[in-house]
Amino acid sequence: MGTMAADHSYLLEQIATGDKAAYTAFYRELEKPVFRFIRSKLNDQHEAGDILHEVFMEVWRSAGKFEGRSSVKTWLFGIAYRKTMDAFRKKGRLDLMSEPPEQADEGPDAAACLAASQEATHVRACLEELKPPHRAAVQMAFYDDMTYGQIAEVQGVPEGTIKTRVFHAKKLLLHCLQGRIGRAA
Amino acid sequence: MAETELNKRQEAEALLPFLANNTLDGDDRVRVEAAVAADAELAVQLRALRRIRREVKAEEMEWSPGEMGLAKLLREIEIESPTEAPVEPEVTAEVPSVEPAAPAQPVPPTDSRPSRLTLRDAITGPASDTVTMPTDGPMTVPAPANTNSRVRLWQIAAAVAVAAFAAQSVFVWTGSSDRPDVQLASGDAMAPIGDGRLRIAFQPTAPEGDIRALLLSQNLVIIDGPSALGLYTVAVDEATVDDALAALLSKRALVETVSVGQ
Repeated sequence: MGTMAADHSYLLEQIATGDKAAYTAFYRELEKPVFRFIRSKLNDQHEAGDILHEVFMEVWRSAGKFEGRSSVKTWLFGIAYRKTMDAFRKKGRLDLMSEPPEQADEGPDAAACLAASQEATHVRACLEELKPPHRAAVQMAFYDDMTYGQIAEVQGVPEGTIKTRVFHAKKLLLHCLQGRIGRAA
Repeated sequence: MAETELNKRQEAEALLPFLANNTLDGDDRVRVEAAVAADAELAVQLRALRRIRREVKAEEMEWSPGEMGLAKLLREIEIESPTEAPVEPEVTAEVPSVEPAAPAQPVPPTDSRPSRLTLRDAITGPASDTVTMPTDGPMTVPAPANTNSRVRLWQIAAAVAVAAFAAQSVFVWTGSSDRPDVQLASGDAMAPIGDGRLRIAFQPTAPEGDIRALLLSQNLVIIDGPSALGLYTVAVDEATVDDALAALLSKRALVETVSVGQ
């Protein structure tokens, strides 16, 4: 276990005893990555702020239930993921959970994608076009550097599902990048 | 055979993002690296994915709830599970000097600091002069053994007042210890909180990150707010209140006004 992970576990143990100093430290350490994680699925920063609040209230209430079977970060992101999906369900946005239709079989032109990936605006625009489950998977892989096993744990789905989601997300991203180069040419 | 090769390529393609983020290990890593080495197209895809990863990491987040979000959480936690002071059934009565007690604040939890001054320590006196404060029912004040002193009666009355206040929120403080924090007798502990409080109005345009850095640099914790007027109450250690004030007032781009106390 890395030092950071050990620190998180220690803080969580303290929070379970009602230690608000530990809670404050835990929040300051993880608020931004968790908020970014929630924000990557929502376009509304105020709604994302509300969900963040719920997530950290859940941390306060459930710290004692953490059993250490996963990393603290995976456990925390799992709470954030469920809360975000609950918010989607409440608003009837269930389609966000569905898998996208298969794309055309032909693979994207890798060279065009490589050229487009050098432009931050192209990358951002193409990430925005992904559906939330795919964008979440890409964010978790590329921003949080999670393994596919960890992403599966956070999203509560089998590893195979994550591999499929990331595969689709990658394909959609590369197609989008290729399209942007095509339009620019 | 051709189908097997296709499946292998698809599997390698599916795992390519995890080679890009450097989290693949064991057999997975060996397989995907071999596939990339044998397939120029996959190698270019990998380079594109690494660039995408760099862009994702470099993307700035424009806003997050930050310290304001923390203050809101601590308020809700205090409401949800108020720190219940373990009221001592008997409080020794004679009060050397009764200062107006600080109002209740969401304060820190637990820890077992040795030099903590308890309510019992703060309100010291002969064992015969005791105020009995049952957890239920009315509080009884036994007649003092020695009735020749009005002062003593006053002292007992003051002790009752203090004890009654303590029923809602009991503070103990660490006296001259090296951690002059205020704590709840229940043991809750939070960030260092002294007797002092500051009320701050931040500039409407102040970035949250800068506010956070300023508060952290002075070891300040928002304990209430924003009020209807947009004021935040910040706990400050009495020993460092002057430094904190100076630091806050030197940041006019962030801080509009600061006042001491409630």
